[in-house]
Amino acid sequence: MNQSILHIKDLRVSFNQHKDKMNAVTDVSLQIDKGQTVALIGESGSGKSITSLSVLKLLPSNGKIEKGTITFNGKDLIQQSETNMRKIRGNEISMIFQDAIASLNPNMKVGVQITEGLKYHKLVPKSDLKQEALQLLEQVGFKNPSHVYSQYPSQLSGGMKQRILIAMAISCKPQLIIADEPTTSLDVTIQRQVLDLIDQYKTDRDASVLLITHDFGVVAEYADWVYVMLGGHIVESADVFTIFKNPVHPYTKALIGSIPNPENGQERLKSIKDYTFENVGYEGRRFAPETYSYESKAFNAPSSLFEVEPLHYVRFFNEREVISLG
Amino acid sequence: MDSPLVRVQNLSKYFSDSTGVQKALDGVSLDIQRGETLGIVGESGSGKTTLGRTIMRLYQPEHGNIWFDDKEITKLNQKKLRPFRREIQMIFQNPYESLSPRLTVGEILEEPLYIQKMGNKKERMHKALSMLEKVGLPRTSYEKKIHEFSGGQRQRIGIARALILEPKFIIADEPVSALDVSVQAQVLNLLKDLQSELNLTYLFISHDLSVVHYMSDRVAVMYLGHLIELAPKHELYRNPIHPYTKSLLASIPVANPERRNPYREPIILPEKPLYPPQLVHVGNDHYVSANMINIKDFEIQTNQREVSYNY
Repeated sequence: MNQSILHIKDLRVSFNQHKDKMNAVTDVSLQIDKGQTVALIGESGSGKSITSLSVLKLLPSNGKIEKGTITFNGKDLIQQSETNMRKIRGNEISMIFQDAIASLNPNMKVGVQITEGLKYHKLVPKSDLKQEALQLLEQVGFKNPSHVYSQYPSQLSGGMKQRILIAMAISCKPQLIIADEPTTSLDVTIQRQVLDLIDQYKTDRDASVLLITHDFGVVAEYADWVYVMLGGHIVESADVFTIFKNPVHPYTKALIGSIPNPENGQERLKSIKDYTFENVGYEGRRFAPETYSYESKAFNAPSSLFEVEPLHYVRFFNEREVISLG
Repeated sequence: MDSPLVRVQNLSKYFSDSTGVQKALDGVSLDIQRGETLGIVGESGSGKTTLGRTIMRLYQPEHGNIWFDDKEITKLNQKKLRPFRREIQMIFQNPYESLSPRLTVGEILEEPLYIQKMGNKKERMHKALSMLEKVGLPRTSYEKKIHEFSGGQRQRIGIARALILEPKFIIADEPVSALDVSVQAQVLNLLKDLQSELNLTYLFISHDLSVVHYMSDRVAVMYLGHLIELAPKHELYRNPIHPYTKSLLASIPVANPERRNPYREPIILPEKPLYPPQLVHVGNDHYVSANMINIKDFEIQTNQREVSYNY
């Protein structure tokens, strides 16, 4: 029986900018089961990172969770105090950021950095920290852990730094790892190593992964369930096979069509412009405003998710029609 | 058959730092035919960017020769290079950094014309406007500054600037790496359209093997400053021979969940070859770096080529 580990419901996050309020995330609902990898895919500005930061309550100071619930293991994280959140961060939910260089302290030996979480959450006695660090380094594929232990981040390559971050993220054996574009700046061979490591941890410990990415190739390889984000909304969600076989929302189609895929030898890539955004099947319901634009105000128009086949949801933008469907 | 547009022979470029001399480019030889796109793949530090910049003579090579359009340009001084600069242009990776924020788009586009002393003010403006149209931007962009544009639009401006001197040869160094996928598709399509319209030759540098496959006629693989494999794209993707090429191809995420890449075993990267690597022809215009000892192994592998690469 699948057990839900994280359940985000109707999350709305707004930002204050120059006295204007804008919604970065609007009515996002998302569920991750135990042992699952869930991918959140979208382009820059779609709200995918803000969604993940909300889970750990790490929003920038001008961001605010307006409404919604984030249930993790039965607790609503939004109601938790900062003290409680500190107990959860790194311990039960950990995060791997995109920019490995910016996430590491340049003045601290990497071996010591890895165990900061363990030290903070008092999970192992101090005397065992080094031993634990060496084990973690070995686990993420360093052949010479004791050498790497005493190196500084500047002495490591990008891929090695990203592996250090993974070692840090798994040190407290969290139940959920949030990986925000973990491989964007890495070469393909390293990308594969890094994603395989995360996948391996997930399998070994029956943990869950929220994988934030813009790469449908990565989604196809690693995800079980996919949520597509556009302009702060989830516009489509389904299991990974359905998303690729039967994408319904034109934006999902456009994203999948715009990946160069050596396998199907396409002569020309599709781009967003090649897809129309209105009146696409499903009884004349509209998907999105006529003109496609991230900032489009019309995204605030009433909209609703519609189950086009079992467990496959697509967002339409006309409330009345959806209601009349009953 | 025409002579190649670009011929590079035994090209080397070294950089020295505190740890010693780094051979960024080590004895690379290749030809680029007129009208083709030659893709270069390799990971960071493989020397692919250095190759592009050395061909452009932004770097002075340590050894080797470069011919462009049957004329040797390896030793030309800056003044004698100027006419060639018109013929060889570069599109850079990051349009946020490679375009001046203080100039208007018109000024950015007219600058190369001005430096090359081409046309009067009116003609230059006319040229800039028609170039904007060619890359799919409105004429009103002429007065605007770079910060008013999105990443994809900026890269279009970068392309317009590269093309305004009507070059024959374009070196595109990771031109879409900074862009979102859907915007990336538009820019790649634009580059293809312009190539057939203006009869351009491309050297297309990228770490993304899928993008290179989409753009290129032939693909060269670089590793640690060496050229290790070179073949027409279908041949290379179907029948990679060098172990490094194989591991690269095995790492591409395949956008099809029903065919998850079966290559889950750890990737073995070859050590830097001790012998001076030499390109050996193995048929079908397919060259692979090898010495006489391991070419035998390669041949054995070639015979087992059906090993599940369905490209």
